[in-house]
Amino acid sequence: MSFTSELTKGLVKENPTFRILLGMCPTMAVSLAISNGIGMGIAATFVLIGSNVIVSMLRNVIPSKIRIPCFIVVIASFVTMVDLIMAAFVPKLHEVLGIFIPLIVVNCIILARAEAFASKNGVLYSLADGVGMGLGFTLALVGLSAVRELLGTGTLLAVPDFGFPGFKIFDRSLAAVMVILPPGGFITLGLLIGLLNSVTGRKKKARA
Amino acid sequence: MRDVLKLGFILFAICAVAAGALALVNDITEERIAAQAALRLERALASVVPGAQEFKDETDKITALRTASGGKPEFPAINRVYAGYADDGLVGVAFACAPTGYGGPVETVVGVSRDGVVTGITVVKHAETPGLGANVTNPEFQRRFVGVQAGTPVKVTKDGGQIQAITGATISSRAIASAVDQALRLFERARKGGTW
Repeated sequence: MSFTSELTKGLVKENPTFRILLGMCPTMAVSLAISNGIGMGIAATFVLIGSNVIVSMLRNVIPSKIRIPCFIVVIASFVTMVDLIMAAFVPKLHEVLGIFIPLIVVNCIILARAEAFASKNGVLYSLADGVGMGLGFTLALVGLSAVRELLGTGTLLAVPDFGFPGFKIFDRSLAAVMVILPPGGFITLGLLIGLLNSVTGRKKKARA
Repeated sequence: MRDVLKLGFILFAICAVAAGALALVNDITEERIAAQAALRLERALASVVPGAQEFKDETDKITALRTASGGKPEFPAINRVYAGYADDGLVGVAFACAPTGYGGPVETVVGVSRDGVVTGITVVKHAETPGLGANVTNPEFQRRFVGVQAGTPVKVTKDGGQIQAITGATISSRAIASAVDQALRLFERARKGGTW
């Protein structure tokens, strides 16, 4: 176990979205535009790092029998504090990221990392795990949103909060709205997982 | 038994610390958040009633109009009413509404001109789904309500109305339509009653 391997495992090898298949609810809801994916990714990464560090620090204090309620209290309090502090001191950023924050509370990636990693490892490794998993989640969201935004609306990188309409790739009338809706989300996710599996599978075979 | 007490105490202690920390953060941020909200409201009012120089909270004036018949409260979505004035009198009225959307109340400000036409709407705060319902903040969607006149019910096309809903977000669109509808009806009633 090394700091770097804990940091990088979340990107591909143990990617929370494509490999562990956690946090599907916010993933489906958010991965409609790249700007959404980045926003949710940043907010979730921040909370993931914070909750991992706190849970790791408290791991010897929390009895294993009541660890889940304790984790939930820690995570919910941390999310609420981040929400309040952002609203008070960086209102512009809060206007953009604010809608993602309630979704983070229901993001099971955060509870899963607290349970599976932070409660068993030191603060430094837990920090690395939080950063890696957060970035992996962000990457997955951006990949998924890029496909859905392009096929579903015909544009890329639209940021409605800043009034930026995005780059038009093809006409909206040719876009498949189904890709934006939940069924399209699951189909896109399935195809991306398949693609990732076949690429990494081929690599493994080549090595063997 | 002793184990239960011990676990209960530890959980209590963690909750107490968390509650204390939350109270502290709330205390520090409360004032600033309220100031930000006031600033946002000011900007929203100015954007939906163009030309008004000064806004007055005239919610009290219309309270009597809201429980007209049978005692059942009407216009449930409307919270506050601000009348916008310029040098030559009333310009328009802004209705601060909070209709229920998909993810809770959608705080919307609806501007109605002196002669009963929607001059603009804006969404101040909401918790709709990003990418779908959250598109209620999109100016392109909000412009669909501009020019709607008092006297006709405001509905989305799915309910037989004139407003094209956002794809995949009928509930959110419906919430905004109901806010505009209530604002127009309340305005009409107040105008007939001689309030403005």
